Amino acid sequence: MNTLELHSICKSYGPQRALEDINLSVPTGSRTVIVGPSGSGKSTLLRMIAGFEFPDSGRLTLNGQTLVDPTHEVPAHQRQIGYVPQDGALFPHMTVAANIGFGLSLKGLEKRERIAQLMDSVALDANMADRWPHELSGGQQQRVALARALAQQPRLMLLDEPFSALDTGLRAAMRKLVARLLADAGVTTILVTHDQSEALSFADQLAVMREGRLVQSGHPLDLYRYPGDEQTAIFLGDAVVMPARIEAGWAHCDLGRIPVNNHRNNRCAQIMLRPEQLQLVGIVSDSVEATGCRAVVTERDFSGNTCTLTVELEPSASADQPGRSLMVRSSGLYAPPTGSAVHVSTIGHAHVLSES
Amino acid sequence: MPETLPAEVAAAIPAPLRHRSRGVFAGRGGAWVIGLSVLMSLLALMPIAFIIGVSVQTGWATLATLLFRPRVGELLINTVLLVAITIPLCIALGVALAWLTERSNLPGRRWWSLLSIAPLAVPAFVHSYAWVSLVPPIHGLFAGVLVSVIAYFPFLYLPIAATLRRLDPAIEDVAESMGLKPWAVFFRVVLPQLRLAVCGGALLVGLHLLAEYGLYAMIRFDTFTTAIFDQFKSTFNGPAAHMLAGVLALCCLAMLTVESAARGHARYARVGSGSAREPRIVHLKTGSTVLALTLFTVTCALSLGVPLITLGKWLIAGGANVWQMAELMPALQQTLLLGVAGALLTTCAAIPIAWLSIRSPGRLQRVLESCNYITSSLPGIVVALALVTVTVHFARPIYQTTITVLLAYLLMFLPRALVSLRAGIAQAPVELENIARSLGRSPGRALWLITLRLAAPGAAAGAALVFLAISNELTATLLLAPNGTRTLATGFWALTSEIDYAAAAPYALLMILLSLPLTGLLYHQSKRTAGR
Repeated sequence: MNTLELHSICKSYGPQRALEDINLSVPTGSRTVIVGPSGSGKSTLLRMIAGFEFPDSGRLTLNGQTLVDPTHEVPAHQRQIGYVPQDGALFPHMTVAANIGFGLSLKGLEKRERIAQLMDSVALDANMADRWPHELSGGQQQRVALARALAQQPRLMLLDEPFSALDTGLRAAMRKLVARLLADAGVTTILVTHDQSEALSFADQLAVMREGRLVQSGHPLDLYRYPGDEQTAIFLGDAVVMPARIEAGWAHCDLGRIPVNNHRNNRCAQIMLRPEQLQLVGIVSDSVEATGCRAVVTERDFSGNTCTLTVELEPSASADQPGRSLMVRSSGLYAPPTGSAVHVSTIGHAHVLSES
Repeated sequence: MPETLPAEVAAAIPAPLRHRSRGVFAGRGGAWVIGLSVLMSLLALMPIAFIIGVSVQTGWATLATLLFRPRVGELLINTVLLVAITIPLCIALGVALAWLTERSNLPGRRWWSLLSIAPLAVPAFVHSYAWVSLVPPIHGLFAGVLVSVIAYFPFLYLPIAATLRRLDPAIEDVAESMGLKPWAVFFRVVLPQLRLAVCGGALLVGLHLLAEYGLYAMIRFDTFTTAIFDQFKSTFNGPAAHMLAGVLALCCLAMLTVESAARGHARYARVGSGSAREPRIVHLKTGSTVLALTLFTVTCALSLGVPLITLGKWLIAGGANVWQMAELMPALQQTLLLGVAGALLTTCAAIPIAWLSIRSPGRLQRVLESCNYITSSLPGIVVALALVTVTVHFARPIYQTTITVLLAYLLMFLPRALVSLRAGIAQAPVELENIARSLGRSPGRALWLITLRLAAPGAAAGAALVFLAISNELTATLLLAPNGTRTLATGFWALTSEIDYAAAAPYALLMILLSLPLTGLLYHQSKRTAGR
């Protein structure tokens, strides 16, 4: 069953089209991530779901209840949708406890107990209740903001780049904590981010936005492996894209013959491989029988646990231009040095990109 | 007053804006805010509409005979000379004092800084009262310039000192590394960055020079404002007074134009990131220190010593007799009452415009805001004349009632409330209100619980500024107040007009005591804008 349904949502600011015909279904209990470069309209979409902005046209329903349609719109305070913005946006004139209790209709002891319970659930120490927002670290502020949003038992939780203000180490930890917490509470969640690795790790449904359009949605692994077009492929991670001729399940390209997931014949198309699908083998002797094609390492970018290599393929005999350059990932410690001759072979299928 | 129907208000709002504001204001609330702001701005335009209306009604022939006569030329020369001499003197004094207190190691510079702002606590007409009773023959242009400089130079000192404190010393370091001598650094790098402060301060001083009545009436120096007042007293509400008011209003508008041209479009904010280092302090040589201390001593003696000594002299001479409690107490009470009512009214009226300027800045909002600024730059006497005429003709029941007086205060002092309130509302980003709504609070409740709570300190500061402006207001109160009204300012004025200087002294003292918090507030604010 789906919690949230968006039907052909459109929104313009003057001549500027912010959102164009957005359709999306968010299944109950899922974690959906909307990812896109800045200015792609993802935050606008989120604010529209929260009820801070309204679409020019389109329909929005939550658990079967219509939130927005051409004739009426439910205001934000009647939607029961939790919202956590980038910086937490704690009320500066209220203590931690007052912030968390803001959305509670309970009174007295019951309220205090519920606040303590919420603080415990986001791993905040009980003695922080009387602190002021400016006395908290960034991570603590985020957790208070999350507890505040959880207090009203939201039907849907919206997170607007909640981790991007935190430093790298804290970020991953917070992401795990939030994912577990929301899964335990069984709250359907939508997260917006421009960080593709965060999106891939947090999501069980990923939606990619670009220039106000939702270009592709699905399981993160599927999107990573089978992106619709080159832009999406590159946005979700490093990619090796090259032209090829497709014939009976095989792609003929500069890397030789590679199996593909597409059986249309006699067609020229772009194929995509992830750098981790390429494998390098150092050439020990001048033996000819090794698989793949010969190449030379031209650049080495060492970054600890991995090493990104640029290799130049040996030019084919018929062409007179230099060989194609490829990006290959290698283990940081055992990467071949610059200038060494290698064999490049591929693992798994290549993905045929649709023409865009 | 034009009766403004809701439909007309709605029609005044361009369609795209109504549409766009829907999200920000959650529907109908936005229309209300915009409607109220438009209403306020129409009200603010009334004095200008009055002048134009009266000019059209009078007709060109009468207008020409009223305008092109030697008396008007004489007043114009007086006013221009006053402005042209006073403003440069104030700028020079303000820059010198500000540099000494902010950038030199002058002994006791914090105290000198406080003493340079203190003259603001003394109403301008109390300054001239002090001079007249100390040197009775003093009069004319020289006296006008002297007392004006003494009364108004803090308006330039304050912003210049605040800017000097905020300037990034790295820019001066760079200039020096390029081979500029210290004097060249000051004139080519520091002084140009003071342009905004100097322009703003000079405009404020200029508008005061045009608007002030009491100061110049006391030392018998004729400006447009004193002439309008005399004309009003002799012929009540005649075209002669109206036409002089028209010329005065034109002078004010000309000054606004000159200031905005001088201000230019340059950007004076610090470009780099991170916070600036402490400014450099110049070590004065003994000779310069003595010279600087002399400058401060003379300035303070003239601007604080003279009023305080004169007041003390009259209070001692008058003894207990001058403390006529039966008259003094009602005056104090009435001043407080008018001040509180006016401050509340003005602050409330400023809310919609301040709100729009932060939450939905756009062309409409800028137009609305500038309507209010233009009116508040008009002298109190022009606003008062407009209100007298309009109430006599269109709203007889409120003529010569407290309502009209409060309306005048509202028109004159709205920007004071607006500036502080806007800073306050800026403290409450719209995101916080959105969150409150997402937590189940209605838009009205969210506004009350979050934004208004966070804006309260700013609103209070604005209300205090308005209150203190009202408690020293003389011109409009004299013209508009119902019979029997006696505030501290009008009471003081009545007694000095009878040359009963001793009896006037307690009123002056009370006004100074009421104004002291204003001075403290200004000092505090100037330090805060400098980021300390």
